[in-house]
Amino acid sequence: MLEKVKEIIQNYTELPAGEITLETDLVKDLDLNSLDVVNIVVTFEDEFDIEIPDRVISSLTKVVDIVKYLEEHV
Amino acid sequence: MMRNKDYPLYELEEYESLSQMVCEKARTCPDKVAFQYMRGKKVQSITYRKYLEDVLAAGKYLSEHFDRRSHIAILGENSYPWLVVFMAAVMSGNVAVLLDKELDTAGLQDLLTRSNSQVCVYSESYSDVAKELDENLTVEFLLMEVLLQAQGIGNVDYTILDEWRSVNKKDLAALFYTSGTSGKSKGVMLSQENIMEDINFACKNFFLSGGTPAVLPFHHAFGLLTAVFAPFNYEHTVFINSSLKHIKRDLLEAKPQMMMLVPLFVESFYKTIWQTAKKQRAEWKLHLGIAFSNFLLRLGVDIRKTLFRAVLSAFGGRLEYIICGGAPLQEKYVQVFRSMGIEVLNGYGITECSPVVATNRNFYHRDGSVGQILKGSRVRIQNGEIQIHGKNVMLGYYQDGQATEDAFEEGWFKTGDLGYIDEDGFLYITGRAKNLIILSNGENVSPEELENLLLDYELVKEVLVYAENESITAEIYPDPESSFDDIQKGLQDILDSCNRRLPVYKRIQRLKIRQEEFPKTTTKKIKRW
Repeated sequence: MLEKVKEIIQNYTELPAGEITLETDLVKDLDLNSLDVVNIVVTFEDEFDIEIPDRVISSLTKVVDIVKYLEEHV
Repeated sequence: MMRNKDYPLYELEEYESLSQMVCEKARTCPDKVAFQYMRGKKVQSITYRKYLEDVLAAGKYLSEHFDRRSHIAILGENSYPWLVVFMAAVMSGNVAVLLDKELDTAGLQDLLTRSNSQVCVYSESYSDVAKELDENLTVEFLLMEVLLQAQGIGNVDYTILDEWRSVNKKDLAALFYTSGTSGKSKGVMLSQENIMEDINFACKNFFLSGGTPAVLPFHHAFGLLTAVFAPFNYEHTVFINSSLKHIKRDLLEAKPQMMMLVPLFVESFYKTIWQTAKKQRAEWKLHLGIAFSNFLLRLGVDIRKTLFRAVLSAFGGRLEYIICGGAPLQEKYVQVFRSMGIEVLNGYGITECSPVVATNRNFYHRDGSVGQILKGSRVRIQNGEIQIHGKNVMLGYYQDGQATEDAFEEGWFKTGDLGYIDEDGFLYITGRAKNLIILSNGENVSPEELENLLLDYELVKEVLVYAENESITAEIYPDPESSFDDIQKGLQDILDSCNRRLPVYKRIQRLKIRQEEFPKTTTKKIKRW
């Protein structure tokens, strides 16, 4: 799961592999804005065929939060 | 071809109040589609008549269950029911209190208390929040859908309008909360007259000839009054986007002619266009297309619709204008979108002015300027600060006489923005007089609010929050007597814990640690600059 999540974020941010860890903060470390986060969430939804409610999006601060959420819901 | 010279204002009928506009539209164009939204995979259309009928039903329920002048808070995502509840509260002589759904429960509790809300109407997706708040407050909580179905189908009582005729257009109608410099948000009090006056005149500066999507949050004056009720006045359909996740789909459905946006969206669309081109290995084509388009435009030839068909089709294929406000937008975006056939018109507004003050016009605009001042507003520059006079200026800040007094000078509202007006009447913004951080999503962040949060922790002795390269930065002088072994980690943990409680746009992105105290003023306040 972590690898897939990392891959999606890497594709979006075009960062070199290895720069994204569980502790990476989407807004703080990757300089993403709220719309970027929404765009990434849409990719997760398509990839894992789930629906992530809007209210959950703001709680996905770090990569670890995304991984945890996906592990619980996919 | 673009004329770009002065021309007469557009002529649209003026209304005295929101109530009058809604009733008149239902009478003069009952079957036109006012709103659309997606329900499952189908587009739902709401006519002007249906909107009035739903407002009557919801308003009647409010009139029957609560005293007039009740403060009715609205909590929920952008939706059609949200717009019904708002107008029902306003038209029935109550006060709509607009809540930021991104706030945590403590923040919402604070606003519900400070706004003296008697009722909170919430959407189903906020049921858990409503339940939690209900345990701590005496506010009555009401599910939005219940209010909409209060009257049953096909049973519209128009006589309630007679009761509502006594509602004064000059009374407080809506409370918008906006970041203040003192740390706590302030309740901006707007009357129906304030709001309608602004819509009347905004519609004379810009002319809309097609549909538009509503993507900005409704609890913001720009997202609600300008992006929803100005197009409503033009009698063009507003497509309600309930979630930013669906923005691409909604644009394809809505096929808008114009979008009202904050810079964050324009920047994001720009990024997506280039990312898509990159994926298709067509970046060079796009560069070449832009250069070619600019060359042809200089010769007076416009083939942008053909040249950029692929790009434009992602916006529904009919997009001609983006009206951008809420924060400054870099000029490069204006130029690139223009090359592709989309004119980005910057405007300027502030919640306290209901909110539009100036906007560039369809065929009369200047790059770098926020446009022509609305006819109903008077603007003066006092010691470099933009000050406004007009019927669109708020009644004051709710239960904050001191802040209201401080906001005015000889009857003119002090915007806190610095700027100038050129010889042709175009307004330019040059900076902020207040400390507010204005982000590209149009959100205003009060540094003091974040500083106060951080100062709750013992390790934080002094702190200044400011924006550096568009990132919210906290510069902290840690307590030298603290027993922390690892100050860096301690502060980082504090930041993480604060960020988890904050909406995404308010999160602190950078931490700077100071080795010495901040320089102070004579009154021992940290010098900001």
